[in-house]
Amino acid sequence: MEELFKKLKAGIIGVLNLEDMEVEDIETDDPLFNEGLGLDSIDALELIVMMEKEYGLKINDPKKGKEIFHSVRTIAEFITKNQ
Amino acid sequence: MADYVISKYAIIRDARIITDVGTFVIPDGDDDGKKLKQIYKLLEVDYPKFYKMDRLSKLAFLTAEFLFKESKVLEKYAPHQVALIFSNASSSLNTDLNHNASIMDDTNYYPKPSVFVYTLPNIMLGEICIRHKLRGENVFFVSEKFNAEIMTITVIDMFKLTRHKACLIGRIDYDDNQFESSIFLIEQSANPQPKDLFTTRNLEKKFYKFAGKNIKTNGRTI
Amino acid sequence: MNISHIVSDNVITSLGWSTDDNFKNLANGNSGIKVGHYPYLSPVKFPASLIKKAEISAKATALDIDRDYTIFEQLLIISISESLSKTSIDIKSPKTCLILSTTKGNIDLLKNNPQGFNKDRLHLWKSAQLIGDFFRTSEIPLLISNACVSGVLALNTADRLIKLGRCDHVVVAGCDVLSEFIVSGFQSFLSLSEDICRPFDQDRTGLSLGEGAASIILSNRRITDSPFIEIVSGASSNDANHISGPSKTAEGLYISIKNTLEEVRDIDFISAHGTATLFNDDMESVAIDRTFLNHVPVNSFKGYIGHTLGAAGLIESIFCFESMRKNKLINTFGFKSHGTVKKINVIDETKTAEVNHVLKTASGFGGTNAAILFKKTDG
Repeated sequence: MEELFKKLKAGIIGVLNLEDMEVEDIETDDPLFNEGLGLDSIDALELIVMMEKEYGLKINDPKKGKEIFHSVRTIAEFITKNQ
Repeated sequence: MADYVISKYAIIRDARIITDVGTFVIPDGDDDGKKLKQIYKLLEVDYPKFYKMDRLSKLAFLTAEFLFKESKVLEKYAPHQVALIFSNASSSLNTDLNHNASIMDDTNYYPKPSVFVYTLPNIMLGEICIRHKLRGENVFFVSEKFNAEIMTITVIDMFKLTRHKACLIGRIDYDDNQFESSIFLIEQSANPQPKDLFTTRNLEKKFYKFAGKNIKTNGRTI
Repeated sequence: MNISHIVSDNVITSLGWSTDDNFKNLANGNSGIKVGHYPYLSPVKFPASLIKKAEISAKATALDIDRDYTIFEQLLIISISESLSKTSIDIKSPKTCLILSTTKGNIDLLKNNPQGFNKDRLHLWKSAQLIGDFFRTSEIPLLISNACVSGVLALNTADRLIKLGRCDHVVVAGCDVLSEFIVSGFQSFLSLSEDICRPFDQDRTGLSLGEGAASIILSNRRITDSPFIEIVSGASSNDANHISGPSKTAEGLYISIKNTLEEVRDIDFISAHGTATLFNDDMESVAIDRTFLNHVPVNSFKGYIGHTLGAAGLIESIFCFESMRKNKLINTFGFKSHGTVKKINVIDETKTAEVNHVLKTASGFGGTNAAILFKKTDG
């Protein structure tokens, strides 16, 4: 799981243009939206693209996406469950 | 009634940022992206959203930041009293090409919403409005050259027919890996200097004031 | 102060090549949106309102503009020609202005350029120049590209030019053609519905795209027969909230409507933007609620012709004119039951009504919003 957490954090930083951020700066259990990193609706859509491109998982409903993207851990769990 | 004047300006051209309060030299950067980042660092502001913008919006954002740098001018106005009337020649072409690149290959087909959202030239107005909490009229024109007459008429008529008290006139272009931008603040003044009065002639003069022989628009010298 | 009178207009969409044909289809409840597989637009099926290519080709050939102009430019030329043919206004006069509105112009050329147009055609100003040259206008046409409010902004700009005597007449025209560029972008936003869009409906899932062109001729003189339609006022405003998500408090649209309706309070019909996305329709209901217009019959025309982007403000304004001319309120195609956060009076069947004051609104990416008020008088 640790490897997946790292890979996800690096992916998030890259895909969302989180400048000057390192993998160590993102807490696995911190909320990604609203508080924490303060990601917004476009970021959520970008994460959906990342899920399809890097992990082959399609998310069609942005609302479902918000649940999956709650934290790095919830994303990792979704990936592990569905791959 | 007090006259309207061009009270402030910020122009980014070649290697300089020229404002009514000073001139800054653009630090060397390998490419435009790095250059824009260097200009951002010059400003010493903390605005992480900057990094999500495309280059055109970054350029507009930075120019507005220099315009308002250490100035309390916006405090005089309510949000709905400040309008933005901008134009450019290239629309959002640089970002359009990025979005197009993402759909050229059927086997690697991943259009990005964070790119697509910037394929409209008026997004830069949104970024400036969000940053400075401006809620006045927004209009974006596309014209080959800066048309001082149209901008002046549009803004003067807007002042006559609405309750706006100030307006930003902007010309922000990023095309063929060249960027240049200008933003002017138009507002009322009780004691205007003749050269600052808001007229087509004065707007044109200020726009071209710092244009050197290297200024190009769409590959043509103005 | 002068008044902007509506003298002539034309609409081109999947529903027809004239204002009449389009409005007849609206009144008969026919939608031009069809779910289909359009490989040049998208690898997956989706609903779209498309103008038949063969018909565009035939009309363009008849005007001898099939070789030298792109489809986007052809549609504008055809629409403006059609509007002009119904008046004696001289588009070449120095007192006549031409204003164009579009979001993406010839962007389809990036991927699809069989005629080999020069890459300068990607520039909107180039199309404006060519269209100005075609009609031999005195000045280069103005071109407004401000997301989906471009059409309404173009009308507001035209109105002000006439009000303050800068122009005697203004021809306003807008167009957007669909392309893979546009469709793929909206798909990346997951904002397209799977079936025909359902504005304001509780089960709405997104917007349907459409292509279209329209032109409206305004004059400072009342030179039509009764009924007479004029522009009262208009305004625009930015949410200052987010570049793609509408403001939850509808700041921009609220300010636009408030500034447009300063004096007139008796509104008979609101033609809303109504794209049928979750957030847009909710936002519009909030703006309508904040301005106490909840009781005013409101619809969206987008279930018939889709979201026509840079042409939407003009096409839908012309449908407003027709609603006034025929005293008819058009059903909101796709709407079945209320689904917006604030209660609004959605028109759910086509019916006869006294339509004298109409408010048109529009909203778009970049937090941009605009509104315009039309008035009908009989004499």
